Order: sequence, then structure tokens, then C-alpha cells
Amino acid sequence: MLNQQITVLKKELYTYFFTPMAYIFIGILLSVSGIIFMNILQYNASVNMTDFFAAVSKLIFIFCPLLAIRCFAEEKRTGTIELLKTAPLTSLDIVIGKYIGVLSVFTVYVSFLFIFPLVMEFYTDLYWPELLCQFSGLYLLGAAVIGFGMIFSAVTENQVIAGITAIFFTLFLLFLSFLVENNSGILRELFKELTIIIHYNSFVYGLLELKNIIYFVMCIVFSIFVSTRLLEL
Amino acid sequence: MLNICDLEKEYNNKFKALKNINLEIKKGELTGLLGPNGAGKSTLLRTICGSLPFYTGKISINGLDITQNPVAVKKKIGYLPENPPLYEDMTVYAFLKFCAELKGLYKNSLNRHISDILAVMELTDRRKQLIKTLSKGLKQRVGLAMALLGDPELLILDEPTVGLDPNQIVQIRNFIKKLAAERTVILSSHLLNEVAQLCRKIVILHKGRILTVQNIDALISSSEQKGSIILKASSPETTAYLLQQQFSNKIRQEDSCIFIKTVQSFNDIKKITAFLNEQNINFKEIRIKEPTLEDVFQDLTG
Repeated sequence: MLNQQITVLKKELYTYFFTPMAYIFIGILLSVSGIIFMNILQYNASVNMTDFFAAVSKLIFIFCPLLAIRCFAEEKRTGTIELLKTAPLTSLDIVIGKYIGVLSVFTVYVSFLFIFPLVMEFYTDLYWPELLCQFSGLYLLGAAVIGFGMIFSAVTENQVIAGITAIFFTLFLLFLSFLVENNSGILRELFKELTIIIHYNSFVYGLLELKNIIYFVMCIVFSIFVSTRLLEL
Repeated sequence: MLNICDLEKEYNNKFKALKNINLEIKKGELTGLLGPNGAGKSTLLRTICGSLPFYTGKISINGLDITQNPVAVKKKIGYLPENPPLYEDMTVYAFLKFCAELKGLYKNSLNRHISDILAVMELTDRRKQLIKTLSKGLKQRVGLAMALLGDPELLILDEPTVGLDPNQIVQIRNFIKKLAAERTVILSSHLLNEVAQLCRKIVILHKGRILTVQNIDALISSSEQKGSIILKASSPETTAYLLQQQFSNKIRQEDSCIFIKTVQSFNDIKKITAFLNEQNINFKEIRIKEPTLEDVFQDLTG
């Protein structure tokens, strides 16, 4: 069924890159990322990419769900979901094709982000293993948040409702860190393991740990599974 | 070809949209699916196509169960929903190429197959046009072309002429006739004359149940509904009132015409004429109207 997944992916890429959608998304995100980068350079005596990646993660929580909500909500609104559901492919094929489509747009954005450290490389020596770890964290965070956005897209045909609920959900995940600070014992440990930003921060500080990678992969697999089930309803 | 056994479909565990559906459609048949709005026609078609899961019963095409082999069964079906699911920002060719690839057609066979279908649907000169710039009739033809991709054995058309102008309706009907010559077709419509023109076998669905599955001619002749007596009287209101008092038949008045439903036309016309003469009621015309599919349909679902 790989061929069908590629067909869905090609259609998604066509929709994103033959319309202004992907360019607007990438343009806005890169502009805001650039402003953040300039501010960090301006107010810090030393070159510090840790602050940059910590700040950029907040953008991901807001913009990535917005990118993902189009996936199914738009198809449901226009009725084209009927075409996909009656075609000889499984719901999983549809979800994977669409997921990789959104992820491709995000990949382009992350690729452009490499411009910032490359520019800095002219003026100072950067520790690239740490940087690659930070980029990996950002990519995994984006991939997980896109997955969550896709779940909300599969729930409703109204993109506004899908967008608002998806952003609320991802912000809720972000603010789970407060529950970690305000609890103790097992509850604290539980919230710590669930909080997405804590796992992401390990990457930001240059710690490449298997448990954090597994956490994000689990988030992605979970969102693909839930979206598939929702699509079958 | 298509076998449906004890099919039931519930929405949200509350509303039963389909109740105990048993249906067999043989290869090469053009079957009309009739029913008033909300009868369950679209639900039945969508369930056959695999778009609506979670039903009870069994649906199989050429012996293949749709729940056990959904991908294989879907390859045998070409489906045109009531509103053709078209990506408006794509060109006709790009859209059909996408649909063909979804159906598992690739490379060599694909371009030729699409070109053939575009030719059949008379869309060759529109292949590079964006779908959003097409008229409703042309969009419907693109929808039909989409349903034909992969040369499906079973073609399911849900209200294919709804919203079209009379010329487009005639055009689409001609296409359906052409397509039906080579494959099994299920045509859903609430336009009785359309079904009567195109199909020989009809299925009447009402409140989620199949009321009848028959050849149109057999259905009309076997129906209890033996037609109507049409009476043109000079004072239709009074006449209709008096006839209603005297006879137990269903009586309907439209302008100067009175329609009297009858089972035994010849006997009834004699009785009515005698009654009118007795009451000194003047009438211009009295005649028997043969039953039509519309009469039978109203009788069954009214």
C-alpha cells in the first residue's frame, strides 16, 4: 500500500506547494524565528542557541496545529473525504500520506532554520553535535504537535473549531510543566514523564536520550493511530 | 454480482437508517434505487462502497466480503456521490490521474486509460482546465469519469442529475445508458421518470426498508393501484365533496379536475357516472388514467 500512501502524499504536496499555504506558513515562521534570533544575538554577550531553541518551541505549539488542522477538516467540509474513503486504500494509508505531507512543510521550515547557525559559523565556532541534537528535538517536537493537530482535524469539519481545540490541547501539554512544579511524589514523576516540554528541553540542553526519542515517537504513533480510528468512524 | 444479506445500519446507536436489507443484483443489470428523501438511499450506497462502516449483515461483491477484503472490493466499485467529490484547485487531468493512482493504476496504462475515459465523457478538450472553472454539468461528467477509472464492474451513481439543467440531464442520462451497456449499474434517484427511462429493475426503499424489488412493468401491473379516474366537472368542489361522501376511494381535486383512485376502473366509472347523473351534476369528461410508476410509488410510500 506504499504506492497509495505516496499518491496521497503527492496530492498533499501539490495542495501545499501549488497554493500559497506552505509559503505563508514557512514565511511567517521563519520571520518570527529570525526576530527571535536577532533579539538573542542583541541581548546576549555570547552566542547561545539554547535560548533560541527554547523560544522557537513556543511557535511550534501555536503554528504546527494550525498547519495540521487542514488535513481532514477541509476534506470533510468539501466532501472529498468520500473520495478517499471509497478508494481502494486503508484509513492508515490516508493518515500516513497526509501526515508526511504536513511534516514535509515543517521539514522545509526546519531546513531553512539551519541558515541561522550557518551565518554564525562565519563569526564563531559552533559545537555542531549539540546543534544537531537541538534541531532533532525541534523536529520531533514539531512532528508530535502536528500529529496532535491531525487528531483534532479528524474530529470535526470546522477548521476554526479544530484549530482552537488543537492549540488549547498543545498549550495544555506545554503548561503541564506547572503541575510538575506544584506536585510531589509519584504524581510529580507522572506529570514529568507526560510533559512534552520537559522531554524537549533535554534536546535543547544537548542531551540526546533514548527515552526522550521514544516519548516523541510514541506521541507520533499515538496520534496516527487515533486519527486512523477517527477517520474510520 | 452484488449480494446484501440482513443489512442494518444505525447512526449513533439511535436512528436506524437501514433495516433488514436483503438484495441481489445480477451482473449487467441497471437497477434503479427509488425512495423519498430520507429513505436511506445514500446510506445504502455509501455502505456498499465501504464509506460507512459499523453495520450488521453482509455485503459481498462477486463473493468477496467487503469487511474482510475492503481494498479488493473497493477496486470493483466506481462510485459517484450526490455531490461529486472534486478537488477544485486541480486540473481535470491531474485530478483523474490522482484518482487513478489511488485505484492502483500506474505509469504505462494510466495515461491511455485516462485519455480513453476523457474521450468517452467528451472531456478531452477540458483536460487542462481547472475543475473550479467548469460548469455544474461538466463537473458531473468529471465525477462520472472518476467513477469509471479502473474499469469497475459495479458503477454506483447517487442522484447523478440533481441540480443540472434539462440539456445537461439529457446528456448525463445518455452517458449512463452508454455506460450501462458494459457494466452493472445502480442508479439512485428521486426522479421517477428518470429511473423509468433508464432502468428495467427498481428497488423502492422507504424508511430504511426495501418495499419492493421488481421489474418496472411487472411492478405496475401487479400493483393494487389500478390507476385513476379523471373527472372534469363544472363545479369541481361540490362534485368532489359529494363523491367523497358517496365513495370510499381516495379523491383529490386539482383545478377543474378530480382524480379518483380506483382498483376496478371499469366498474367504478359506471358507478360514478350513474351517481353523477342521479345527482344532476354536469361533467365535461370522464376517463380512466392508466397507472404510472409515480402512482405506484405514491401508493407504496405515501
